[in-house]
Amino acid sequence: MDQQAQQIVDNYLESVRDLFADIESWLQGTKLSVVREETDISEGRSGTYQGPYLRLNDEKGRQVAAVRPKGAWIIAAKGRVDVEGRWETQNIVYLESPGPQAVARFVENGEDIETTFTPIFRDVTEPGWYWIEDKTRGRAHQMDRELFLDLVRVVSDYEL
Amino acid sequence: MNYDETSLDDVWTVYQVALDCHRIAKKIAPRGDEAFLAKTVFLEMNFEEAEEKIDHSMKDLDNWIVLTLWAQFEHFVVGYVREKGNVLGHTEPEAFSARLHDKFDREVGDWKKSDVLDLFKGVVEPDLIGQAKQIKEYRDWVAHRSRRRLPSSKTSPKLAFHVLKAIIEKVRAVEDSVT
Repeated sequence: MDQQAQQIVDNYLESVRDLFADIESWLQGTKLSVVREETDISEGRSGTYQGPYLRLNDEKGRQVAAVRPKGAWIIAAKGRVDVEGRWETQNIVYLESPGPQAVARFVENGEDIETTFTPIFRDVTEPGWYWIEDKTRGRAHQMDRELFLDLVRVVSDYEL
Repeated sequence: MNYDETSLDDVWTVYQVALDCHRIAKKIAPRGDEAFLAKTVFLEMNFEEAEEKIDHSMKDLDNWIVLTLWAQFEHFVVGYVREKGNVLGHTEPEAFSARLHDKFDREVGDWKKSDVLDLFKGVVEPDLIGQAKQIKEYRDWVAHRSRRRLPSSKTSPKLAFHVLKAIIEKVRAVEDSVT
């Protein structure tokens, strides 16, 4: 892995670890416990590297959901983790403030007359982990305890 | 719609455009060019996933185009046979021929398609008839995939288009020569 790719991976893993620390604190006082493991992450730009992986287990030790790092090279984001359950998977992405922008250049007679920057996602107020409610509407919700617990319910159908 | 309005060319044009759109997407998605990717399904995918989805979509598109080409072709063939069968309603005794024609008209669409294709032997080269049967076999696999074994030969949209179009053109040419 070259130095630039290594830097991207390091930044990504640091933000994943921050998110996982938040998740561990958000799940305190619920019926779920967290088991932290390591997993392989394979990407074309970096090859395979290791990162943390969370299993969310119920009181009997049965897995209800998992939070899996998916990679640092994500379209329109700086990284992604997936909340995986029995029924479905939800993506959480790391966005930098003010989020990615679609850039359009307007040219007249060979000269730039205007360049517009349109945010791809709305409501990205600071760097952090976001859940995108709908890709077309582009509405981003910053992760917090309530939203994370909702995502666990959605993917697993488990009532916390 | 008259059977003669069948247009494989329209389906082929749609396929060419869709194929080129896929090719363009395949060039753009792995670069993560956000100006083009806003409000698309590719947001939040990693680059490998995006390429995989496009490849998968292209394969499915190929199969669905074969299905659509066959549907257009079948419309032509059954319409042609139905029109040829109209003479059944104009024989004596009239009461019998009317019922015979009604029965023919109701049931001709359900005839086994390989039997219908065999009717065209003598008008169309046997090799083309054989290839059309193979396309039908592949079309059936696409439509009922879970219940059927994959046919020995895969049919590409290009092959289906050229074979089915050649049959239609041959039938039309013969028809023109006798009228």
